[in-house]
Amino acid sequence: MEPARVNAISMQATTETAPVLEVRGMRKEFPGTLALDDVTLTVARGEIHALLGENGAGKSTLIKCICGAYAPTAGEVAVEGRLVSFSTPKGASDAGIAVVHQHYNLVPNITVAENLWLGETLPRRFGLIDWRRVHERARAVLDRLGIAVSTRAEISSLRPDEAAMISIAKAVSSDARIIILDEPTNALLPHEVERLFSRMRALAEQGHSFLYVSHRLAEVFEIADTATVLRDGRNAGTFTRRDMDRRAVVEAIVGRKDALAGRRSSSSARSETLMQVTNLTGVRARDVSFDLRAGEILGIAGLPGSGADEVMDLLFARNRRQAGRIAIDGREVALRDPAAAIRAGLALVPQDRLAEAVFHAESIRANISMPSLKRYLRDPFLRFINRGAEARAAGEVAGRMRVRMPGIETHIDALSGGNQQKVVLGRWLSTGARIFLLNSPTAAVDVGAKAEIYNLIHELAADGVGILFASTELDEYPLVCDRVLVFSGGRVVGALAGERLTGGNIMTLAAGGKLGDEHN
Amino acid sequence: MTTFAKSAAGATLGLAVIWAGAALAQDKVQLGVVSVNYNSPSIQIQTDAAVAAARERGWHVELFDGQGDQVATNNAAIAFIDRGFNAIINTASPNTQMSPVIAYANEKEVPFVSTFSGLVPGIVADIGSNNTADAAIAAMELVGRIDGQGHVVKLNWNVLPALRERDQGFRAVVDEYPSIKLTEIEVKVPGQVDDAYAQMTNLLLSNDDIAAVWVAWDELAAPVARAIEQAGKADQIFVASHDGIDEVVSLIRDGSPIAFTVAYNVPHMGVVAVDVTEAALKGEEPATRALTLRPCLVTREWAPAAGSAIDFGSCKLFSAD
Amino acid sequence: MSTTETAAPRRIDWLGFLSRYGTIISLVVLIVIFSLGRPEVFPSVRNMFNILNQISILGIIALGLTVCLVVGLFDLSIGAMATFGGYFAARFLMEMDSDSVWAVAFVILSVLALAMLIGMINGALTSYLGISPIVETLAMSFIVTGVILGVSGGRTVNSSDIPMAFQVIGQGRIWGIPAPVLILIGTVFVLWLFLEHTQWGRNMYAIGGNREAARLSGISFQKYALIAMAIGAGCAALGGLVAGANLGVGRPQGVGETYLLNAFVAVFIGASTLKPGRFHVLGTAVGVLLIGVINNGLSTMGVATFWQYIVQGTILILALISASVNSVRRA
Repeated sequence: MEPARVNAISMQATTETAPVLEVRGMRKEFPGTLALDDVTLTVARGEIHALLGENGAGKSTLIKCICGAYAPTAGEVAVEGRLVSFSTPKGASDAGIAVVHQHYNLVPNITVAENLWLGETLPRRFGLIDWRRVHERARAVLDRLGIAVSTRAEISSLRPDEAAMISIAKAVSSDARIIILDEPTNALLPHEVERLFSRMRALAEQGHSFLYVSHRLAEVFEIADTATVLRDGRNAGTFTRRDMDRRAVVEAIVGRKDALAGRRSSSSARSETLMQVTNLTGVRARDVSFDLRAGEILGIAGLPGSGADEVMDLLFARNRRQAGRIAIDGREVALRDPAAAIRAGLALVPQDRLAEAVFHAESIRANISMPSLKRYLRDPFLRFINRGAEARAAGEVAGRMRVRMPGIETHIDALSGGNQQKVVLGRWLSTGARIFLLNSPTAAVDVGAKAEIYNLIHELAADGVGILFASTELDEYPLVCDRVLVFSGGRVVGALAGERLTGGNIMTLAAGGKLGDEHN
Repeated sequence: MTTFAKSAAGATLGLAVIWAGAALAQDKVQLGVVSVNYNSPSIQIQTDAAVAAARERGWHVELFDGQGDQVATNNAAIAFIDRGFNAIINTASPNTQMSPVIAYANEKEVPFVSTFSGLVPGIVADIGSNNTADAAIAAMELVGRIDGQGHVVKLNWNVLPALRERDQGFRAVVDEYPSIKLTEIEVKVPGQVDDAYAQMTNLLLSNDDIAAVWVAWDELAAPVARAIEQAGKADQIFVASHDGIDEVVSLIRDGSPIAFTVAYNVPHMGVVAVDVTEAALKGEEPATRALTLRPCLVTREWAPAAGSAIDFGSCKLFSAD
Repeated sequence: MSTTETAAPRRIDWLGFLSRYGTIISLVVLIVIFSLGRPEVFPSVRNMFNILNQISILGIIALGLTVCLVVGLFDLSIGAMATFGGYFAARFLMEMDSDSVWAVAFVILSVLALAMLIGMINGALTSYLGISPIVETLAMSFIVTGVILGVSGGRTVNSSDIPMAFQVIGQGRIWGIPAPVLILIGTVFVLWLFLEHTQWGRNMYAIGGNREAARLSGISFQKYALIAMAIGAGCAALGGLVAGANLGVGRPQGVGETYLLNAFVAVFIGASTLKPGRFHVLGTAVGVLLIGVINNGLSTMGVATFWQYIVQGTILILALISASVNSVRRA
């Protein structure tokens, strides 16, 4: 990597004025569909440029065209003013384009230094690998970026933000002119995102350029100098830092005016207590007590590891609770396993939809009816299913959840993330569940579907269902919840409602701080 | 006794002083019996006979079953020799795959006797049968019964050396008769019993003119006979076979399509192996290194009564004898 | 997004078609080739029954394996369980020395119950203790093989010791249809109903598709692992029992080994038929039929045995390719 570096510095001097990356008239046709239509994108030196758009707007197609994974139908890519053309990702990296994917393209069980050298010939001494030099040079790369991680640490032992930085360091050390970050913050905690952003800003000041793809609007507003929005494969707007108005950007993304409802307008919470939790204790959560009223939407917020993320799993008996009592309608329930929790009227939408909720290669009908099959049995012994009754009930649920689908027999894998989530939510309508535990129900769902899911949650609450809600995006809590419990260090450190319920206040409490106006 | 004395002395000088001392004190012959596939019925019979014959003589006998693993079998035999055993008997593990063991036994002057394992240099003797000659006997009997003409089916598995020898003997005779149409079937092993049944059923469906079937070993005889009976052709087709296992002998006696089998005195092979070993320990070499036992043609007329064994002393080689 | 949904499938329709119907097409093509090759033999009704008779045992065993694989459990003990069923049915009948239908029925039911009990032990060890099913069932097959060899002393139970009332199961005919074929058809029908039309089956597919999601839907993996392994072992023992009755012997070895591998072949061919990526009863039936047609057709054509292996291997690879084409598309 050393000789390449020398070249890079000498070339940088000659091409100071041209944009680092310029995409002109990009068009990509797939048989029967037009994925990109005349897309233009310009990234200046030292700029952090956000690429925004709903799922399916063409973001990933564009990136694949830029990095050589797809051959564009028409259009050109220029790096530092020179037209480049390549048909493989290797060609793209030779041209100075580096892509950092969601999982940071690192090999988890080898060291930082080995990852930095991956794909290059290791220095040798007496025919053996010269590990001293391997680590020295890796150290030099990390030091230049101010990354204080041992080169001998295994990637799997790093924090996610450190791994992300190693991945960026690898791109920088391989002489990349432009680093494309594809949803880099998905696995990061808020304070880790903060650390990553401060490093990115430092690198940008040194003249490195980033193209930053993300769903998270708040982050984009925080980090991006410029933003390009794609909608339906076309440019839908370019914003600079000065004119980056949240509502305008959202409108460009969604193309509708009413995308984001503001604050939850009116609560449907009733007076009667539905569930009473006393001294619930798990591995991290300690002595958690709260009441959930019928029709109430109660937020459970906290940083990962704070215990908040454990509460739903404890209630649903996914994890064994060490102590604590749960009473529903004033009567104590044992809840020994998920089946018992379902019988007691609980429903869980887990965080990882694909790994924990979706029955792949099954129809929408089967996905909806799975926990409530016993309602459609012809007999209690052989347990033959009345398919007609099952399909009718599933159809009703899909209709009520406004699932957009070709038919009830369509495989669930053919649906978009948002529609899959509606199916997962809907399957609990038929079990008689009265307490919904929703863990990040809008994760990896596009903006339009998010609004629909918020509405569905509010409709459920209006029917008298009690809801526990958790999200990785703090801004969602005020939109969805009546009240939010904030966790820190395993305990509930505050409850927010009304005007005081804001993402900022949740963050402050979760990070262990105190609210300025708090007196009680 | 010289071999014994030498090896015992060698062992005493070696590392296993205590063990050899105990062996000397017992003054017992120690015999290691190895078999790569002890669970195969006829191998088990000859092995058990050898073990019983050796124990009758007051020998200390240990048996190793390789369960199909030739490498493990060889290692076990070498371990026996290392432990100071006086002789090795190998029942039906191909000697060609045991050359390191045989070389080591020669080096340590431990007699190596085998049954049904093939003749190789370095062994005292192999007790078995002349597969080629026996198959020729069966083939001549078969040809005689169909007057040297007609459609004959042959089922074999030409992978095992002994079965290939039988194949050669059978072909040598049948090829002399141009009026015989021969259909050759290679059965699938494992699964040979089911496959022989299926293949025979298929053949019977597509051929009306089959006069006789030769199977290379008895395991195939019963399923082939079953297929013939189910096709309703028990009167037209007969089966010839080899080995003389109880099941086939009783089928012959009870009048199934199996006409005859060339039977071997399987238990006697084990007994002879022990006799040869005992002689070798006394320093006596057998007259020939390939000891073949006389087989016996078991037909319905000559089948032993139910419950009694084949009388190898008096039986005949040809039905016309 | 909407344009993609409607237009994309048209482009790859023929691939989807092949991955669904490839095995059935090759079955039909083979039948046509063999029928043209030996028109007087292969397409006869008698030979069709013959083929069904020859695949019946493999089919019964493979169907049980299908249930195990639906739940996501590899059962390598089915070979040993087939030997178990065949040997112990013959052995018990020899010991009882009775030719009454009731004695035979009693013995059959006891042997099947014993086999299912062993299957439940497999299910319990793999699900409650989380032992790898591949290793556990392999270990169990050693134990079962050892028990059979120990009890039998390596000796076969001969047909003269086995009552005709038992041999009828393998050799009899009802309305001209061989009894093993009827047992096969019965097994297909019962397991098809079970897997496709009952809550039991639906829950098994749920576990196989996403075990964690199934647990969160209140479905107990442990319970269904027990049921699935019991069905797998029971079918294997039933297959071995029919094999024993068919040949009129109780063999302590050499029964299950071939069926074990062929059963996996059949089930995996089946998983690339009609519903790619999904183990199902009708697919397994097609897979078994394909193996039977290949073996019967090639042997009636007088083709050497080694070709049967080669053709069978080729078909399996083609089936796996078509299945993987499908999963690549989905990803």
